[in-house]
Amino acid sequence: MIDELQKAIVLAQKLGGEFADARFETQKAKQINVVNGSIRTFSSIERSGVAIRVKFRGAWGLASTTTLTSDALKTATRNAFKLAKTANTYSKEKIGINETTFLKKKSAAKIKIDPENINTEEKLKFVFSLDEAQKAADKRIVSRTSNYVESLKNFELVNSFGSQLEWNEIRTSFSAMSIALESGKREMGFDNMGGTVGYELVKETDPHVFGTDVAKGAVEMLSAVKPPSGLITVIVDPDIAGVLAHEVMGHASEADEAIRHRSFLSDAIGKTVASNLVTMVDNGTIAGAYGSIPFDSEGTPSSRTVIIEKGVYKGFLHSLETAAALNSNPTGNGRTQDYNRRVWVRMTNTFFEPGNWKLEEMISDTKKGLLALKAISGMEDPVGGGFQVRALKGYIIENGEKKNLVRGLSLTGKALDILKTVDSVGKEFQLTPGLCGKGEEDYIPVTSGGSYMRAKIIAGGE
Amino acid sequence: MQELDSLASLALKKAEKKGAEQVEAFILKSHIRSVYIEGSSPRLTDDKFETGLGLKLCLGKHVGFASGTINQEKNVEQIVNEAFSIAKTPQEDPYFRSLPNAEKITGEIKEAFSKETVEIATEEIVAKAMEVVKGAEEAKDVKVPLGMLRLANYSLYVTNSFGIEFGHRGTMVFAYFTAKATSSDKAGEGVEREWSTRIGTIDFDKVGKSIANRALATLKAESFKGELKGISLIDPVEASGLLSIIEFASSSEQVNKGRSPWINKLETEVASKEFTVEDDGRYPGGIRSALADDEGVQTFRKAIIERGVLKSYIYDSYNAGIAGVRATGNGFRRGTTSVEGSFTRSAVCAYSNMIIKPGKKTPEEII
Repeated sequence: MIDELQKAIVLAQKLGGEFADARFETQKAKQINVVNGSIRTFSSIERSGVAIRVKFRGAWGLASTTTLTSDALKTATRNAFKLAKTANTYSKEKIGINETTFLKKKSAAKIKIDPENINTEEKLKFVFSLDEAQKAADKRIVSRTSNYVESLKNFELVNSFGSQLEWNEIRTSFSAMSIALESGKREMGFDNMGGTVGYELVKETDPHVFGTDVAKGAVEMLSAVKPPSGLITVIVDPDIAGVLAHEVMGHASEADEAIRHRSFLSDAIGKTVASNLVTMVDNGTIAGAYGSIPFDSEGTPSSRTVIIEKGVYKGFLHSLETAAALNSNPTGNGRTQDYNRRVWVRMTNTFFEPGNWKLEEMISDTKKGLLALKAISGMEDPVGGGFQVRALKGYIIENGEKKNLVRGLSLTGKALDILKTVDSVGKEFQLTPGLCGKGEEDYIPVTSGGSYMRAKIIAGGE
Repeated sequence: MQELDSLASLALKKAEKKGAEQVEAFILKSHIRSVYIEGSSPRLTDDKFETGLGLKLCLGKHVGFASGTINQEKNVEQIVNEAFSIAKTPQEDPYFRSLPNAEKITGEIKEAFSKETVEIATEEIVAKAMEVVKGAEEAKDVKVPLGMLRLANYSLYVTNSFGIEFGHRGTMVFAYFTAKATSSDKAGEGVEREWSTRIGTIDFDKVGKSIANRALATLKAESFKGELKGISLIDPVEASGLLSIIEFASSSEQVNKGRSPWINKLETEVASKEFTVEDDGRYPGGIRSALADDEGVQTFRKAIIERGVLKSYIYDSYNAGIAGVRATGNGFRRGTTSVEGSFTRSAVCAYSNMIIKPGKKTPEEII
């Protein structure tokens, strides 16, 4: 397909396109979903398409097709150029793209065991083991869901700078969710794992332990009490810290939001935005992490970008376009969901760097507070900078000791108010895999995380 | 490219010839056009074509689902073979009863497809989006930092071994715009989403003025202090957020999985007597309106909650089979803001067009 993509670029330039790129994607995925002891879904997906993007003065044209013939690509290229010209009619300023050194590279995913080489029976056995472990854990478990997903994406990309790239991304993930019921009260337990790894992720996991822990988590919640409310000292776990890093600070650090002044951090560079214990980065190069990518969807190699360094705001994540607009370097964050979607500035693996405290030390050092664990939902708010997360559970801390288990815990506040009160950061480090949308769509694989952090946060709940 | 019905029939025949006892083939062809506004002007326009097949295949209670993009007959063959290899796995689904039976589909559907939406030129789509910008920026200190207008033109065809042969052509328009208002020391944002099956029904100038007013209103807002107790008045946009909770609780999938809080609650009071909610698969101009759902099961209007009493769950064919009732035309693959990639999903239990029935008081009277 590379030759056809090259022809598309030549045609785009001939038509008058100032910059063009063409990307061919093939996606293969398998998903197994077991519910209450029976297989609910076993599905396979294979999609292929080409996306051709052309820049003309102040606008982009994007055309994509799943018809992979030479004629269809020519039509798409002409269409992309025409679309760019049409959009440019209203444009007041030219889009700049700084020419980068062209790259000619092939990159293969570094995995130990290709999921495609594992027979289906073994994968099914693993998912059923997750289910059985949940069932055996406690009679109060009334609903069990277990999932396994493997995906392989192949990319070929060429652009008018002369880059020619071929790479693949392999991801493996699984999850389990239990619902416990007692006296009309329903509570949930949930956990997931995933990475840019192969089937070794499954091989290294004991499904009995994983499933049992999830089910016991749900049962444990049946005895949870209502959380306290008000501005409280809270120790958040790496998962909840990750929501703060990703949903608020991360989305607001996407340069396209900053350029549009839709970010509360638009004018924050060089300013102190957090306690000096806080350092936050986006790093798409972490081996095995779910959000890692060798190149973004524009062909820029992924990188480590420091967003906050010791409390001082350092900078944004960039695509080719935003880097040129803000006189910066592209950071490998121009990502797209698939050939049917446009490029936005997106995160990869976004987290707070670990500190020096052990969790036990943080608890024993807290006279009165909460330990909040496991995020089950979080709100994206790049405009207002508001933090809002619902934690699965928590513990009341009194005089340096963990006391009652609490449920339905909501944490809220202004992100910068919270970060300025961070007075201890833990040693333990964890990334949670997930899918991130820009607004309400365009989902891409990412991780978020960090360490245990202690800060003043508004808490409440039912 | 062959027509959708002949490609779906080809997939069905190939699968049956290989020995499948029940087969369902779903094909979706989509053409999506969008314009993205950034910084008050069009930044990107796109034009996307996709055709794909989703194939469910059953060997007894062994069910396999495979899907993929198709641009030649060879792809159909590959998808059939993949679905077969999945269905041949040893684990069966003991809850699977049957794919739906064919039934005579009657009635008509209004405003599901709009020729104007298909034929409108890209230049005019861009101009419509700019009407929003103009409408919003007439207000002092208001800008439109971000917006998107998307038009989908799609055809779907579903056929199965029990005689279902259902085709539907639809259009979908989704708009999402934000406005930002600034004063000397404050900034506020207004957001609006619009759905329609017809581009002509959306008043883009009005959308612009509305987001501007919302943004300006937030400038006047004060931080909430104190405890949140007592009565809240929710506007229709925010009230629609309640529907996702009702969809979850009334979904037969969640009931069968033991997750719904409304298990065994039919004919009992689950809400205030002022509250009536319907699901209407034929609501004129509704985003998912069609004579049948994405499994080819006839759609109709039904009460979910009537004067506070839970009257019905919603059923796709799989969950209806478990419950031993008829499916309610609620098996969907299509999304509510776009349709591309829908063929990669097996139909799931979802609402068609869920509506909270209006009461008799104006907001002013309620206040």
